[in-house]
Amino acid sequence: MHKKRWIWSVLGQAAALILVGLFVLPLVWVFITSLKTTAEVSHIPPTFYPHKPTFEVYANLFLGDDGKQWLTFFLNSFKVVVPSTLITGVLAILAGFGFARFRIYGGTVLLVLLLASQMLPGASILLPVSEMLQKMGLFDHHAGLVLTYVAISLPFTTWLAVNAFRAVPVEMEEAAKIDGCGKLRMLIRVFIPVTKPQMVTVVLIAFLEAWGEFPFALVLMQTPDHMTVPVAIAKYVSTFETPFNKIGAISFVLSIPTLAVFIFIQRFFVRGLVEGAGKEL
Amino acid sequence: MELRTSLRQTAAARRKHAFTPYLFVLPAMIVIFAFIIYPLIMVFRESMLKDSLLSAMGAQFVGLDNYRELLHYPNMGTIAGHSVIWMGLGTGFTLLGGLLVGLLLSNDWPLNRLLRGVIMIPWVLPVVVSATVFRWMLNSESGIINRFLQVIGIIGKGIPWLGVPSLAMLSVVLVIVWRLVPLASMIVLGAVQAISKNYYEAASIDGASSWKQFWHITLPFLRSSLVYIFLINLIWITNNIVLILVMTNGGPNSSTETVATFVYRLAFDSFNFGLSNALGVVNALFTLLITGIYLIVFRKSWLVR
Repeated sequence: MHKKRWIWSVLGQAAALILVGLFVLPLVWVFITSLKTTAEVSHIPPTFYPHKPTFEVYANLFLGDDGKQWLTFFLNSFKVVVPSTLITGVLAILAGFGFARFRIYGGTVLLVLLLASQMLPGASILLPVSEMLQKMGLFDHHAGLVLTYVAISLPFTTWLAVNAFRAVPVEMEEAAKIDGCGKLRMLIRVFIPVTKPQMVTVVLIAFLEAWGEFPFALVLMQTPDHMTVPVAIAKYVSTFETPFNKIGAISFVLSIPTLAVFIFIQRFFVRGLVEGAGKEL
Repeated sequence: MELRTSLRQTAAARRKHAFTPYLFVLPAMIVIFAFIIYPLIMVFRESMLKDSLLSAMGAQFVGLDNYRELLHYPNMGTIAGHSVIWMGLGTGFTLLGGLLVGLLLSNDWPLNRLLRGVIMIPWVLPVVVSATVFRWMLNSESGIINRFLQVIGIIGKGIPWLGVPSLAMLSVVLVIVWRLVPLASMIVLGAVQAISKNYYEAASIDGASSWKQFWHITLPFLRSSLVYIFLINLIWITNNIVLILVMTNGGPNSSTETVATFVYRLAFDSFNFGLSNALGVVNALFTLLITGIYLIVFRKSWLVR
């Protein structure tokens, strides 16, 4: 009996080890590639590790003509992602509170629309959105992209906020009301602090959705100077002969914010996601 | 006296406060309406126009002509077939993988802590990065995966993972599964951990085998999570164009072209807006169908009694 369990645990652990390797491999590979010299990176067959590891691509990342382009791309990404994250966060938390703690006439309909928009067919609305922004004069303009990102991230983040606020005990709300709190103050002073993990998750999701977004950035930013980093990476890989150590470095730099976010708030992050997922059947 | 004053105040205040919830909810809903709902309506409307780019001028209403043209479009059947394979394999493997990994993680083994620590990395990495790296790693000559297989002696010549039609489809499916299994496993893990140990103890006492315990205790509790994972991944996978566009751009020979990527291609490569919108409507209808199923199945989460 014990022997059988022992065998299973060994097999299980071996599987876990393989999985760790699989999940981590691409990131590790990107980093390793970025440390190779340009000559070595184009060597066939490829090497498993850099024979003369160097940080030269990182040092030269933003230098030279090429470098200035990439600096522009990174600045573009920031220009778009920071406002989107902030706006999404605020709107999602406000709306989440509204849905969770008020009785709204027609609220069910709105909630259904909210849920349905989580499952948006992004591919289908690429064209209409770009046409709409053209009419608004916001095509190829960062503001247009910001609005789009807010719209894309709002459904899921608002849903997270709704679930978070619904779980707050009524007693807390009553206590705050007795203390003379208006609804808005109640939100700021009571609800948000109590649901901090979920609030953090809301902001992080908004950030992640905007930072790595590709299709809309591809379609809505036509001028090369307006491109964000994800699109730039794809374009430079396919059209120009940018060596892979440079692409690797840029990819890694692009991944750093997402990884940093992930490392520091991992526990909250996953708990917030999992709790918003598929209960109540 | 005091009572009447306060009642009057309450009535007036109540009228004012009736608007407050809308103030909270409206900004978000306006954005969603403007950038998601309205474009969806637009797609329907514009799928029945020809040359919709020149909106005001030159756009003719042609009814269902675009749809008829789509049905007879050269590759349409194959592309639809690819979509089915992409969605089926992608969702299936993700569900299975999520279940297995989630169950694996539910054991109290030392290495599991490490796995739990790194598991969300595929999900957090930007899709572009994952797609670019895998495209690089799967390259038949300069890719590290082939090199590894060669070095350990499994294969002689490099496998053209992205160069051969069926392998290319398999490769993109595996990458999307790689990306989606982490979240699925965490959801399964969360659900499994919520099952009270008492059930298992009682079953053990009654002499039930592990398999019976899994089938009759674990699975029923997992049902809701598994359905959720299935539905949400089905939608994500169906509508994901980033991975395919960056890894294979629909190739080789359109063997990884799905309905969603074709919607993009019709609009931005061929500039055939009418057809693109029509296919976009088909895609949207399918997505809406799945969304409808999701809403019905999980109605307890939004139905206010």
